[in-house]
This record gives sequence, C-alpha cells and structure tokens, in this order.
Amino acid sequence: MSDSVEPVLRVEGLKTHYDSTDGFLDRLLGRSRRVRAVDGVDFELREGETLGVVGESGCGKTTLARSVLRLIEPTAGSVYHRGEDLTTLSSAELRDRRTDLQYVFQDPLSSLNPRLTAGDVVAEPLDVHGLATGSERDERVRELLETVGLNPNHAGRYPHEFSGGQRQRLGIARALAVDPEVIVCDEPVSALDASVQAQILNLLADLQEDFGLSYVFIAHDLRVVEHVSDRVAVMYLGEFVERGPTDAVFEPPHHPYTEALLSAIPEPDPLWDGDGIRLTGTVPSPIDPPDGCRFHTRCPRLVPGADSDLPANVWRSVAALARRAANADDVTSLTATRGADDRTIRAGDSTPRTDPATRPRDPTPRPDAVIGRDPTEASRETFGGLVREEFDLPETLPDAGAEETLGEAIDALYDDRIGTAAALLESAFTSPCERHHPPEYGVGSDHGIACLRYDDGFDEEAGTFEDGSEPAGSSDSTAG
Amino acid sequence: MTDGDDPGTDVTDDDDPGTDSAGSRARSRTDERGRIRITGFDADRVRDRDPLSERGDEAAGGTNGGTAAEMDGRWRRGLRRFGRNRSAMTALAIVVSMATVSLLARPVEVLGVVVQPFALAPYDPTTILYLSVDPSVSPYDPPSWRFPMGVDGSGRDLFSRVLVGGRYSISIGFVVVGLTASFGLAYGAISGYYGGVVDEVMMRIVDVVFAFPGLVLALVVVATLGGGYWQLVVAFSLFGWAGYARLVRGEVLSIAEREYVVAAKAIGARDRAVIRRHVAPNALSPLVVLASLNVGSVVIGVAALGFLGLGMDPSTAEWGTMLDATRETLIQGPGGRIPWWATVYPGGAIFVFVLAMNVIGDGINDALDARTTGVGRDGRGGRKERDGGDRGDRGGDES
Repeated sequence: MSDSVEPVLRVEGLKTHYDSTDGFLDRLLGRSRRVRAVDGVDFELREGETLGVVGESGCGKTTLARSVLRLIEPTAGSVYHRGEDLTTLSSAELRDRRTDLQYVFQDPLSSLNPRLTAGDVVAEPLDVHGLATGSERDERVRELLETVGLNPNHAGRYPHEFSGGQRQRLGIARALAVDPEVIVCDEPVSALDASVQAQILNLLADLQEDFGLSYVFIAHDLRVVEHVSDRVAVMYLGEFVERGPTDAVFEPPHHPYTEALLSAIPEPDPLWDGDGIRLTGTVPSPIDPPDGCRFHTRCPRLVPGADSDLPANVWRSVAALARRAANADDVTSLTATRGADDRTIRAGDSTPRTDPATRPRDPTPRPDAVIGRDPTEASRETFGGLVREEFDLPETLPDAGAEETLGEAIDALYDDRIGTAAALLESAFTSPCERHHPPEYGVGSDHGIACLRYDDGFDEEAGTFEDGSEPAGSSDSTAG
Repeated sequence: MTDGDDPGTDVTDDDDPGTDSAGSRARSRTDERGRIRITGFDADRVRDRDPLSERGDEAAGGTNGGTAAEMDGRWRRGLRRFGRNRSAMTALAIVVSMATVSLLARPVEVLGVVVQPFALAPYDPTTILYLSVDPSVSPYDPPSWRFPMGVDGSGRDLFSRVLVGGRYSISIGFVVVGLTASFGLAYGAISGYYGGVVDEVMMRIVDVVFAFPGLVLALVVVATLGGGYWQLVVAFSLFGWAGYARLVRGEVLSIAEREYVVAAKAIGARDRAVIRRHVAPNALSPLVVLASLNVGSVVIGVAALGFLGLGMDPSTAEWGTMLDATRETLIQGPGGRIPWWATVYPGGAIFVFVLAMNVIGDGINDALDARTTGVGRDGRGGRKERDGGDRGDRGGDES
C-alpha cells in the first residue's frame, strides 16, 4: 500500500452490474433485476508483475477483465492507469489509451475476424492508431509475427488455417502491436491443450521479460495461475475473497474457499485419492447474492454462533437445514429420499436409520415408495429420521437446548408449517457469517483474506465469533 | 513431455514425488516462475541438427515469393473458387453476353458523338418494317431467316427489340439493386450495431415500408412521377432497401456480439471502422445472395409494371413493355392463330436472365464464404438453380 512505485493499474471499488430485467412491462413496473457480476473489487498491478485472478466459472472474472478496460462500462468504481482515471475518459481519449492497455481473449478463433488474414489482424492496431504505414507497416507486421513465434510468411493466411496455439499467438501479436504496458489476459490458455498451454505460457513469460509487460492473468486453472503469477486474487461471486503474493495464497492460512479450490487441484500422482474438500450446492445467483459473507451458503468452515455448544460440523449441518428450510416450498426437499430405488441399497445396508426395526413402529405400514413420495404421511419418528438423514444429523444433538429447537422445527415441518420451522431454526442457528460482510483482513505482508475467521473477534479455540459488535477487523490493510 | 507430466505442474522437478498420498495435502509447489522447461530434452540439439527433410525450408522459401500475392488473397481466392463453379461461370457468361449484346445492339451516341459504333441488331427497334424497309412485311409475321424472332404487332423486328430491350431491363436491375443494397447495408448495420433506441426507431420505419406490397408502392410512385427509366429506378429504390436493411440488421445483431468485434474495440478502433471492417463484411454474404436474387425480381417487377402499361413508354423496346404490347394476342391472335414468338422471346429473355442471376448469386455466396473448402458445393448450386427456374417460370407465366 505504501509502495514507492506507482502501480501501473489501480482498480478501486469496481462494480459492474447488468440489467437483466426482461421485458418492457417489468421495466415499467420497476421490477428490475440486476446481475451483480462484479461487485466491489480493488486491486493494484505493479510494473512488470503478473496478477492472477482465479475463480469458478460465472464468478465475474471475464466481466472484471472487460470492465477494467471499459470494454464493458463499469457501474461504479475507478480504474487508474498511471494515476489517470479511465472511467472518466471520453471515448476518444480512451481510444488513445488503448495503446497502453491491451486484451487477449479466451477463445482465439472467435476473437479473430474470419475474413481477415493474419497480416491484417496484426496490422489493424497499427492502422487504427496510425503507428506505421507503407513498407514500415509490413516490416512491423513481419516482426510481430516473428516475435510471437509465427512464420511471417503466413501473413496471408486466414485464422481458420492456423492451429489453436497459433491463433492465440496471433491474438497476442495483435495485442503487442501497439506496444502496450498492460495486457489483460482473459483465460488465454484455457481453450488450448496442455502442451500448447505450456508454449503460450512460455511465450507470455518471454514477452514479459522482453517488453516489461504487466499482466492481469485470469484463469480457472490454479496450476497455471500458480505458475505465472506474482500475486493472486481469488474471486467468488463478484468479489475478491483472498489476495496476496502467490506463495502466501497457496500456503495456509487460507480463505475457506481458496482452501477448497486448492484441494481440488488434481495431482499427477496415481496414488492420489482426490479427497478434496467438496463444496455442496451451487454458486448462488449474482442477481440476489447472499447477505453477509457471500460464501456462507457453501462454506465448509462456517463460523458457528457464539452461544452454541454444538460441535462445528453438527452446527453447520443444522445451519444447512435452516438455510434450505428458508427457501423450500415443500418438505420433500428437506427429507432423504427413500424411494423404490433405495430399497435395493437398503437390503445390504444396515445403518440405524434404515434399520427395518423402525418400521414396525409405523402405525400404518405402507410401501416405501409412498413414504418417498410424501414423507409427512409417515410417522413423526420416521419423518424426523428422514430429515436428520438428509442433513447428516445425529439422532439427538449433544446440546439439549439445540435439540429442543430442532425437535420443534421438525414438528413444524411435519405439520407442513415450513415458514414456522424456518423462523425457529433461523433464530437459533444463524452464523455470524450470514450477518456480517467480512472486510479484508491482513494476515501477512500484502496478504488479505475476507473471512470472519481472521477477525479479532474470532475465538480461535472455541471456533466461534464474538457477536454483537460489528467486525472490527484490520480493514485498513486492504491494499493487497 | 518426458514423463507424461502435465506441463502446468511439475515438469521441471522430478526429485520431489509431490503429493503425500497419506492425505496431508502437502502439495509440491511448481517452482520458480518463468519458462516451463522439459527435462531430459535438449532443445538446442533439435534446433541445430540437420533438417530431417527438405520440406520445411522449401515451404518457407516457396511461400516467400507468394506472400505479396497472398496478402490480398481473399478476393483472389474467392475468384478462383468462383471460377471452379461451373454452373456459376455459365450463368455469368450468359449475363455478360446478354449485357454485351444489348450494349452492342445499336450504336450509342453521347452528346452527338458515337461512342459505340457496333450494331448487332439488323434494324432500329422502333423502325416499322412495312413502312420504311419492306412493304411486304405484315404485323405478326412468323420467324423467318430475315426476321429470326418474327415481327411484332406494330410490324417491328422482334429480334432487334429483344436485343436492345436488355439495355433497360438489365441496367435497371443492377442500378436499383446497387442503390438499395448499399443503402440497406448501411442502414441495417447501423441499426444492428448500435441497438437500443436507435435500432427500435430504425426498424419501425422498416416495418412501415414493409406494410405495403412493394409493387403497389412502385405503382404509386410511377403513377405520380410518370413513366420513364429514372422514374422506374426511383420507384423500385425508394422502398426496396427495407428487405436488405432487415436482413443485414439481423446478421449484424449476431456479429456485434462476436468476440472479434470486442477485440476491435479493445484495439481502439472507432465504431465507424468496426462497422466497416468487421461488421459489414461479415454480413455481406447473405446480402449478396439476396441482392443477386433481387436483380431478378427487379427485372420481373419492371417487366410487370411494363406489362401493366405503367413502366416505360408503350413503344419502348423493354422486355416487359413488349409483353404488354402483345398481351391480347395470348388469348386470340389475329386470324385465330396465336403469334407465340411475340411473347416467348421477350419472356424467355427475362427468364434466362433472372435464372442466370440467381445462379451467380449462389456462386458468389459459396466463393465468399472463407470457411468452406469448395468441396461438394455443386449439389447446392443445383438446388438454387431449380429455385431460379421457378422464379423465371413465373416471369414467363406473366407473359
């Protein structure tokens, strides 16, 4: 943050929202739906360095990349290039600025006009900015093609006559033509196969060395990011959850999301059993992102409420039940399915909950298939068992108070009062993660993690968060 | 890839086996940044060794000379591909010879100076034969050696008239299509590229134009302005662009979303340049096809107006007008016989021209498509030919 070197690119509070209101009527009635693709992102890019941005697909990486270059107009925030705010430039000024800021696309074929030859593609930036004309222009085109490792004699070929790797080289040559300072690479290697990926990464590394380029390198492949980046930012649902130097991000402490991502990197080891952290559920919709920490709906290390005496994993299971109850419109989605196809499994399986001994207690024994279809027709005990089975809850919770609440909630569910049950559960089992949006906490030099676990109020031993006060974290160290 | 390792990870260090499969998840870090190297493989040796074959060098040397030629290769290649398309070349030959013949049919004078001295047609198209050439000729004389297509109802030589008539029909077709297609291309490209309110307003205007049948609008214009060559051009151009505009706009909508358009913007190209260089050329193929079909329909439209007596002056040697002049003979000619030559030859000229234009359009479409290989294209040409035939037949039926 207190760098002597002025960063080449500084992004502050960048937000890009899309309007996905469909139809004239909705717009008229003000029922707008905004997709918060990028929702408040800050970063700095220093001269000659590579900033890797990783995240699941759909988390807003591409939108971020395009917003930085104003290929998509950002909704809010600023992008400073050498101290000048790009978001306030007029379109003519911005066009001139494009000689310093360039972009490499993910899909090399679709980003090349099929009607232009390789030479035309590379020469276009020269023409647009009037950088070279006549024989000088042809010379520059040949030079650029050579720089990226293409045969200059192929200048007359069309994009479809090149291989994937060659096309990407062509895309890089086009970006290089204007002699830029910063190149934003939007998944430049994800459309290529492994050996070609290595070639392109090598090319990018060489170019960085030769021309002193700075890269914003977007990828979903952590191995690639780990290899190329000086610093890494991990993105989730339009926000950075962790950023810092590559080494620091890839070593503990982690944000729980980073941890999950890292555990999913496949190892080239035949004995690797691949027992990574499995994130349940899907990425929530960016139209209506979760309150508090955006990752709390899937977080495997959700922080339990301060007054809880439950073990953390049990607490999380109950919280999952509470969350699902709040969104469910039907109790079937809250119970384990014991349908007809389940019966074959049960024949060889004898877990307590599927014990045939529980069945005689059914007042009206009925085929399993019926139970599968409407769990409320089963007895209260069976129903409770089904709910607990679905969420991996023990027969009784270790904490009496929590067990009582859970019992009441299951009673409510049994009577088909989902709303009551959801309210009951929510009042008792709400994580501080749902209430507080974590700022970025500095955990080392230049390393920031946006997770309540790194707040001062987080009790390391009990694993709980001292609720009541707002997270007071060291948010001043946000410049990562 | 020496050990089949993924280059994204530890290609360089093989001393550390990497994962602890006991599950402690201690990953081996990919080591320092920079180039990914593959161990056990000496790149210099490969680079310095003698070439395995002459092929690589030869290819480089061979294309070297051809680079300049290849730089403007797209149109050249399109031409070559068009040249290989036999049906299109035949059609082109027909259109070119029809145009040439009609041009050379009678001498052309500009401001009293003869710029084109040839006269393929034996008589002036307006000469009434029995008055000035040979009193023995009578109206509706059948084809003979002297008058290969017979004589029309006013005693004029049909052969001469058919030849000269091409001047009007063919040129109106091209002029109208040239005007409407270029306007429609610009209009549609702007509408589709900018989208939003601009698009909405521009397309509603197109809808208004589309609300009227084209021939009726042309009729109204001709009825207002009177008949004549330029009046006909105006009549067909004034509203004929809407179809192109809508077609191009649809194409542009999809093209504007393509990444290469974003790429052009990322380079810093102006909207104007993006439309001209990236959007419009890629929307061109369907436009060219539609335009070539429309040359035919404009010719038919002009003929139709002529047939209705609204086009050119009734005595003009224009194919449609010629059909109009002999309209009544279709049902019953003088003396109970039908002078078929008076309608078949002008109608046949329209038919052949329209058919040839359609085949050419199809050939252009195939030639301009940068992605096709040119293999197996003849089948499609054949299909279009049949479509063209249907159109031409309709033209003939009107006669």
